[in-house]
Amino acid sequence: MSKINIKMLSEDALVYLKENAESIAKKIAENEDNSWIKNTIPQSIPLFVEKKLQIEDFDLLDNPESADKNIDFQNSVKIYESLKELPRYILCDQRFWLWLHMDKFYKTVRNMMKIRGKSTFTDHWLQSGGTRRGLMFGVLSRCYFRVALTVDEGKTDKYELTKWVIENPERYRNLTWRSFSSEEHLVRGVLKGEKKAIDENPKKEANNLYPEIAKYVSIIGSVRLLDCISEEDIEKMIYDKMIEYINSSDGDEK
Amino acid sequence: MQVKNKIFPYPVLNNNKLFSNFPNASFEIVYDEEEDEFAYILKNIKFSTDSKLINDLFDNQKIDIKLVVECSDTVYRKAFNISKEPKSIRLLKSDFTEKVDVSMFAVAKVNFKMSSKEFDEDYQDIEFEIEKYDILCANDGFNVRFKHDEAENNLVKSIFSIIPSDNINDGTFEVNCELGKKITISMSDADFKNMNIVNTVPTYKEVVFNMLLVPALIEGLTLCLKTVQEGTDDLDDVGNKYVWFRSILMSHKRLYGKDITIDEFKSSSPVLLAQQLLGKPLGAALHKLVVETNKIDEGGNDNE
Repeated sequence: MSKINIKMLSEDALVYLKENAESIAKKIAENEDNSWIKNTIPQSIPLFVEKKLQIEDFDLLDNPESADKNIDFQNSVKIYESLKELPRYILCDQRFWLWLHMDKFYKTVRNMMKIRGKSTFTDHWLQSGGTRRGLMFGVLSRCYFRVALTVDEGKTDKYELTKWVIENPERYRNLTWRSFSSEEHLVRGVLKGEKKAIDENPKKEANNLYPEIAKYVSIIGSVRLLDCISEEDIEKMIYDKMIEYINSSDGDEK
Repeated sequence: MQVKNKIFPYPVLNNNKLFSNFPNASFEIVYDEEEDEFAYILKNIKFSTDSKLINDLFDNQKIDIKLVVECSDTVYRKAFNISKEPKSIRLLKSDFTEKVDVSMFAVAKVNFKMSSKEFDEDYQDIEFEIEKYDILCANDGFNVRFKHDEAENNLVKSIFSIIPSDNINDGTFEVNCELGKKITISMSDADFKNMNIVNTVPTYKEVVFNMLLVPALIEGLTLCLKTVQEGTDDLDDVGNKYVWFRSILMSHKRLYGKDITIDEFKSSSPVLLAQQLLGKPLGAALHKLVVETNKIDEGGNDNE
C-alpha cells in the first residue's frame, strides 16, 4: 500500500461535535456511510487538517459488534503496527482518532461500536472524559493501546498477552484506568502473573478477581515506587496474590 | 508522581520539610535547562543530599535514585536512574504535550534495616526494616510545559470557534471558554447561516465583530482576570488553563511591541482590552454604517 498523510479533526469541528453530540450520534446511527458529514457540518467550519506526517495506508477487517475475537486481534495488531511510529502526542490526541472514526474507517468503526445513544458517541467515538479514559474507551485507540501495553518483544510469540487480554478484556481493563499503567513493563508483569495463575487454575477464573488485582498494585505503590519494580518481581507478586485470592474463594466461574 | 503529604510507615526524607522525618536534611534535584529542536534537556542532572545516612546508603549501593517523568496527556511515565555524577536526560518533544511532571525518589535496592539520629524525635532509637522498592526520599520536583505550535496566523481564528448549536433556538448566543482550546461561540443554525451571509459583506463585518466577538472576548478575559485574582502570579499559567489566551499574549506583543505584564493585565479593563485586541471595531463599524446610510439617502447602495 502507498503512504498517506495523516489528518486530524479540526479544533472547530471538534467543538461542533461536542456541542451537537446528540444529533451527531443519531446521524451515525442512521447512516451507513459518512457522506452526511459534509452536509451537516457547515462548510465554513474546516473538517480535517492534513499533517505532514505519513503512514503506510492500511485497511481493517469488518467486525460487527467486535464479536469475532480473532478479527479483533488482527485489527488491533494492524492498527498498532501501522501507527506505532507516530509521535506519542499525536497518538494521544483525540482529534487524530476522530479522523479515523469519522473519515477513514467510518463504516468499520460504526459496525464495531453500534451507536445506542449519545453516550456511546461521546465515550467511544469522541473519547470524552479525560485523556487516559478517552484513549482506553475509544473504538480504535483502545485497540492500539491493548497491543502497545501488552506486546512483549522478548518473546517468540510477542502478542501472546495481547491475545489473552482481547479474549477477555476484563483481565486488563481495570489496570488501564490507573496512571501506573503507563509503565508498559508493569502491565506486562501484572498480566503475566494473572495469566500464570489462571493457566494453572483455568476453572477458577472470575472477573471479580481483576479489579482486586488492580487495587493490590495500587496498594503496593503506596509505599514502594512501582516504576522500579522489575517485570519479574511484579509478576511474582501478582501470581502469589492471584493464588491467594483463588484459594480464598471458589472463584465464581465465568 | 507526587507524594505530597503521604505518610509512610517508616521515616522518609521529603524535600518538603513540612512532611519530612529528617528535620535537618534536604534532597535536591540539581540540573541545568537546555532545549533544542527535538528535545528538552535536563543537563548535568544529579541529586544532592546533606543526609549522611542517605549518602552512605547510596554509596553502599543499597538505594537507587530515580527521576520519574510523567505526562498525563500522553500517558507517558518513565523512571531514569540518576546519581551524584551529572548526566543529561533528553526528553523528546514528540513524547509530550502540555504538562510534564518531573519528580525524584530514593528507592531501596535490597532489604535492610536502618536507624539514625537524623530522624525526627519520634523515630529516634527505633530500627526500621526496609524492603526492596520502598521509597526512602522524595522530592515532588517541578513541571515543564511542552507546546506543539498549532497557532493560526489569523487572530480571530486562533481565538474563536463559532458554531451552530442544536441546543439554541431563541436568537441568543452562548459563550463557552472551556469546551475546546478556543472560546466557543454557539448560536442557532439559522443565526449561524445569517451570520455567514452578513460576514461576506465588508460593511457589516465589523458589526458582527461588535455583536459577537467583543462580548465573547470580554467574557473570556474576565475569566482570565479572575484566575489571576485567585492567586496566579504568571500569565503563562492562565495560558495553560485557557489555551486561547496564548494567542491573546502574542497579539498584545504584536500590537504594542512588548509582553503584557501581570500587573498591566490585572489593572486592565476587559471591555477596553477586548476592543483593542480586535482592532477597535466599534469606530470602524459606525463609520461604515454612516457611509452606507449616506449612500442610501443619496439614492444608491453599493451592496445592492
